[in-house]
Amino acid sequence: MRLAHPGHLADWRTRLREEAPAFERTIVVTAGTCGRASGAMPLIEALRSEIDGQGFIGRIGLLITGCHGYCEAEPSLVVQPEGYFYGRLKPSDAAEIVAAAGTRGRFVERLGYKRKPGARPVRRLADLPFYRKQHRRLTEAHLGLDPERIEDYVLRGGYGALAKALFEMTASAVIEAVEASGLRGRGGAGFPTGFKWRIVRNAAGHPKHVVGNADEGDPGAYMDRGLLEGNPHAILEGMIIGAYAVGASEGCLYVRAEYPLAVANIRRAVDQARDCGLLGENILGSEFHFDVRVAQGAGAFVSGEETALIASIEGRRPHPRPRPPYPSESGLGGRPTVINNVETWANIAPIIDRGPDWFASVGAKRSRGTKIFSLVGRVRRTGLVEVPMGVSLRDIIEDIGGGALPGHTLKAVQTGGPSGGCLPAASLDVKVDYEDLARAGSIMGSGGLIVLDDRACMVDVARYFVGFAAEESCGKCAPCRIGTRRLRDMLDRIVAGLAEPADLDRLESLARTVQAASLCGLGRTAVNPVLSTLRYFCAEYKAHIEDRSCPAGVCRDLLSYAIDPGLCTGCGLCRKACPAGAITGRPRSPHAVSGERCVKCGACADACPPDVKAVRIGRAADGSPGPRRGRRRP
Amino acid sequence: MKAVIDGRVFEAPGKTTILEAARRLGLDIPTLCDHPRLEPAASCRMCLVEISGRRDPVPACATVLEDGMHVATDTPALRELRRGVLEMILAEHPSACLVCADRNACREPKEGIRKTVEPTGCVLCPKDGRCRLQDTAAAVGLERIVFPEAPRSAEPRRDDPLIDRDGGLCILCGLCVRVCRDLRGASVLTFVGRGGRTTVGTALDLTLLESGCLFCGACVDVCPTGALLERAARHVRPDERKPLLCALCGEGCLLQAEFDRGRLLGTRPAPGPANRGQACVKGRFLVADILGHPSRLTGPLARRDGTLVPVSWPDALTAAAAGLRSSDGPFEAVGSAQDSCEDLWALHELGREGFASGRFSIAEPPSPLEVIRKAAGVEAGEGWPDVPNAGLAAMKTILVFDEDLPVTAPILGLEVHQAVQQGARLIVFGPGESCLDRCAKVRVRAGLESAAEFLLEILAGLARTAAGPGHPGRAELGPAARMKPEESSRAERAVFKEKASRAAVILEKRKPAAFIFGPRFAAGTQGRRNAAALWNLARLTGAVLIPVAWEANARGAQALFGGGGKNGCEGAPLPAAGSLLLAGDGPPPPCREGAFIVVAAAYESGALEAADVVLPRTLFAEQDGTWVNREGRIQRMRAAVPAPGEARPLWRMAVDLARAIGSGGPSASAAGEILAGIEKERPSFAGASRAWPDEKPVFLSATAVSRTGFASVPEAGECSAAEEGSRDPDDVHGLRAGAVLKSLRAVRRR
Ligand SMILES: Cc1cc2nc3c(=O)[nH]c(=O)nc-3n(C[C@H](O)[C@H](O)[C@H](O)COP(=O)(O)O)c2cc1C
Ligand code: SF4
Ligand code: SF4
Ligand code: SF4
Repeated sequence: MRLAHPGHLADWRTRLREEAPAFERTIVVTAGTCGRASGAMPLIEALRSEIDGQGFIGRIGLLITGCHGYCEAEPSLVVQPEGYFYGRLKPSDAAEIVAAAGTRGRFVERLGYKRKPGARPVRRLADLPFYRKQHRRLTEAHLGLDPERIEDYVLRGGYGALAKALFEMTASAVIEAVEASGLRGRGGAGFPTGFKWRIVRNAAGHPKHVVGNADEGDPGAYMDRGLLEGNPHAILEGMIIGAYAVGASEGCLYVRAEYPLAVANIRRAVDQARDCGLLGENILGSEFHFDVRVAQGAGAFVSGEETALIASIEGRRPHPRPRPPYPSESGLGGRPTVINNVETWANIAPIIDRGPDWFASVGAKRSRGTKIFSLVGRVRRTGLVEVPMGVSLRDIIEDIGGGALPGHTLKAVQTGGPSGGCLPAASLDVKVDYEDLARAGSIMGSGGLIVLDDRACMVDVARYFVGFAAEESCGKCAPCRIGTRRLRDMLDRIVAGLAEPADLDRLESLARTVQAASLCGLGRTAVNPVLSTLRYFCAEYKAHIEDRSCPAGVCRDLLSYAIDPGLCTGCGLCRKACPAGAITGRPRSPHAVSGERCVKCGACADACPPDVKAVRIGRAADGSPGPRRGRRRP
Repeated sequence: MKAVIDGRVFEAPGKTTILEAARRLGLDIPTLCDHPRLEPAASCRMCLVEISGRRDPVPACATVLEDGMHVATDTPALRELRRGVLEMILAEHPSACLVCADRNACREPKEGIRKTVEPTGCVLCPKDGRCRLQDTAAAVGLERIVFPEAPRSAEPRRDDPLIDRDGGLCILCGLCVRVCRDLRGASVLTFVGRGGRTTVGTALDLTLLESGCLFCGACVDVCPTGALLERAARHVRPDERKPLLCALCGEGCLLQAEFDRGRLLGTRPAPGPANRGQACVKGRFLVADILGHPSRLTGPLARRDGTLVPVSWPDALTAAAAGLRSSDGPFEAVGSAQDSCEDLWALHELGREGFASGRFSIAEPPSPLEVIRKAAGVEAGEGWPDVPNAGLAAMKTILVFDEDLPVTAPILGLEVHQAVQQGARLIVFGPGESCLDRCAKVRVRAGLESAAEFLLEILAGLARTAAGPGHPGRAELGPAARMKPEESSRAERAVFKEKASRAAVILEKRKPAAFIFGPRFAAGTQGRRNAAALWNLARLTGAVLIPVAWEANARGAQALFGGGGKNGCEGAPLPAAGSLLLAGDGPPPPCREGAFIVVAAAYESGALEAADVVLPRTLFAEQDGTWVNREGRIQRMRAAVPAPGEARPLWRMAVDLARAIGSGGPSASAAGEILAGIEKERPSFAGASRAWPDEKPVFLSATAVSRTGFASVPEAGECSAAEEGSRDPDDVHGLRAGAVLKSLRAVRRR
């Protein structure tokens, strides 16, 4: 099917609509990477054979989609048109669901989502607390289309924006629309997208390139994966429109190699688009030629940095280079290149389709539209959430995420991944807005939100992120390569109880040097977790250094384990659990921990029955932090 | 463009980086990773400067100065930042050499001993005292070591010829990786690993030799630390440096010779006009070995009772003069295209004026330049449009015929690589492998006997597409192309044709083009056919021709005498000589039985067997002289290295012999006088006495080539196979350096 005229697209859509099978009910199963990992595939098999076995072929349809965001509840499904939601399913639940769907769309109470054990289940997806406060512009479509079928995308109006751009708008009108929408880059820095395009459009050099950045190396973030798996054509359409706007003829999608499903989906989408005449020569019969290739990432966090990404696509080691020149003047092959995050690209078609005003109708003052976050960590509901810019972190964490886990309190939220900072629970009212987050000492980043509760030691958290940067530093420039390692060494000493008070100043000044002197964003922002924890959780650092104690009870070298003889029943469970043989005691008489042998693994505390709780975790004796397992080296 | 740096106004047209501008103002910004011929990497972060109005400091090396900018290069904040970065660098690098309180006290007694000890950063470091990191630490004013030393563990590697590597001393400035890849085109060194485990190494951790290293030494010279080091120059501290012109090939590289108490330690490339800081394995590592080879002759010898015995200079000259005077029959003086212009001219004068029936010739076969001039019918008196190295950058297509440029013309090789990096298309023709292969757009693997076929095939292809009024017909271009049918299958012919047509398309679309060819291409009768076909293609496409000769002064000899070879000499052909002065190292011309032979030689060799008198001669670095390099650049040089024993320059021998014989001939007391004579008689040498490095660059003055027609290409049948030359590009005045020197043998054998 080759579309050689914009009219062909509309005809095709009409035909698809007419030919669409008229199912009474459609069971929509999410099968992104997260769904598959939780067992979506066996569930799908079971559903398929039940539909067949119970004789519902032709009456109940099965739609396999990408991730809807509520990863916590995977594997899950939605029965349409009612929108009934069932989560955490097993293949054995399939029979009941199919039977219920077949009988006038009954709801299976047993499998419904319950807020509390024993409460009445919430029936509809839209009523789930996880979805209720979201504003799902980009991710909503994931519910209604099979990412493997271009037909589903076209049926929902896909590529209409492209036709509109190509035949009703000039290239500069497209750029004006994007500028007017106020869209800013979703890859981290929040650079105004329309402005970037204008620079590329005006830059000399040919052929120009557009690049979709889906390297997404932040630990705990997977917004881009969700988009690529759930709706690849939306990204592609955005890139084609962008290419038209800046006058590019070649495109490249750089996808993290660790995302096999995303790579497969986007590859298939590119092939389909090419077969349909939406890529290649004379797109939709216009004068515009453009094609896209898919490149796989080089497996390093830094290859998401735009100049490193260019080097990687060109087949070189992903080393960032100094800017200027910016890629918009000299990018791939030295030609002007637009690099945008795939979420940025996914926003383009809706802006063209529905207009910049529609896009700008939600959001904060200088940050318009919606943003997808991946909400993970110690929170009740995790997953991908899409909210208007300008809502507060509290809205996201408490309303959508359901707040801290039972029995715990929220302590901090880490935004922006390893380049971001940790904000304390007291700052949860800060708005998600590029400038507000930066002012608070963190960044929007690409949208990772990691929630930490009272069990997290902030020094340890900083140490984790700096360690990540030290591992992922490309090694090119000295401050980042060496400075991050030295920071990590200093934090190692702090958590081991070996630091002295002056180390805090040294830590901060080293962090500032790394920040000021590093070549690329990786080094410049790698210190954010350190600086932000120093700013908000200085007391915790001081506790480690001055009292040699870890208030959260995480840093093992600063802990001591003891058994309260008054509580111990002498059951011996802890003695059996201790891997170091540090616990002695005769049955039914109080046991004791030998400080010499204890390796502070905490197995005894876990083993002690909850109704006894005789293991006391305390501060290691001052000055003698106890035996350690050798020096920790990065 | 006008800007202010540290309160001083800088004005210049065009683009300069802040670093360049600051240096021109005499401001000293510390750097560890910049190089004048490499794109800035901005990785050492030492050159950070502040620009008013910008929040973050920027690297001066990678930031272009803009009109109206206010730059500060030395504020307290910057000093603090630089010190901080240097402290970090020193966390990865041994630092005892900087901070140990006893470092000056213990330097003297320890020098020279325990050379095998691993460097700990104190005076045992093999680069102590010559280290850019030490200099930078001093410039930055580093006084303390803050971080515990955590060197990257890397085993020192000594398994290569000439170069030692010790990753423990590396500061990852990346200069070596960049110079090897971007300038030398070898891509041997690369970064391995990431984060704190990053090191510089080779792919798969092979040795340099196995990785295709050219042993050009460029990486050693850029390394600021002792991580890459010439094995022969560990722990040395030169006390004297002198410029030296390398005459081991036709490139004319300027080197810097380093001495310790008068002893030549080694040479390293200097920023000469031809080589701009680069050299090759011979110039970088082997000059001292070649000059000081044990087979050097240090005193004159004369044959007494059938054996050669040492004699004094006066005795040797008397014996030689007597022998030459008394021998009946014609006299012939034979020089070499490796000799300086003065040497050749003096020999030539001796032959021309010292003897009634004397003549002069050059031992080597005609140079490629001479062959193509002959083929094209360019008059002997005409000049030749030489192509300077800088001209390569403008080329859009480059065609190379079986010349392993990194060996025979290393500087040209790297200029070709630079041009290719800037988008030139490369076509390589030849039977052997070449390190240029990997960047070639078209690679034709065929013997040079098919070179003319290939060229004619291209010509035919171009003639088909470009035919029009004024376009030459088939007949003018040469006989129809054909590969020898008995040697090639149909499929091979098809591939050959296909490659020729691809080359034709490139040549047609991408102009200007340069054609590079050498002695193998031009050798024998086959060479005339090749040269004629190449000339025609150059005429048709407007390409420039770059002949590469292997001898240091081939271009000069050609300009002086219209080329080398027996045919290039002046005077009528003579019957076999009755007496001979042999200074060239080719095979001696046929002699009559009982002819008297004087050999002027630098090394012991088979040529001495027939000699009646042997005179020890000096080599390039040991005498004043003038050489003309491939570009036609006239370069004068003064003696830099003491001559071994009693060796004398060739020109002086010719003068002394003429005086001893008592006939006409050269007379001069300094090389400069001879050069003045050349200038008078050879207009193309106009201005040579003022030639660089004395005053300014002087090139052979070229008159335009008047012949612009097409050459007639002989039929393939007329050609015999190229005579297999026994020459080797690494021969130096009879010393087979490529076989005799162990390290060079290892490098070349690979
Ligand atoms: C260390 C580092 C990693 C980055 N990783 C990503 C990434 O994975 N995905 C991404 O879109 N942008 C990433 N960026 C940002 C890009 O350099 C670039 O700013 C972005 O792709 C531009 O797109 P946008 O304008 O749409 O945000 C990274 C930047 C740095 C410094
Ligand atoms: S800041 Fe880090 S990642 Fe960026 S160039 Fe420097 S070493 Fe590489
Ligand atoms: S000697 Fe030359 S070719 Fe070899 S590694 Fe060094 S720069 Fe590269
Ligand atoms: S080996 Fe030398 S030149 Fe190469 S990166 Fe290390 S310090 Fe720099």
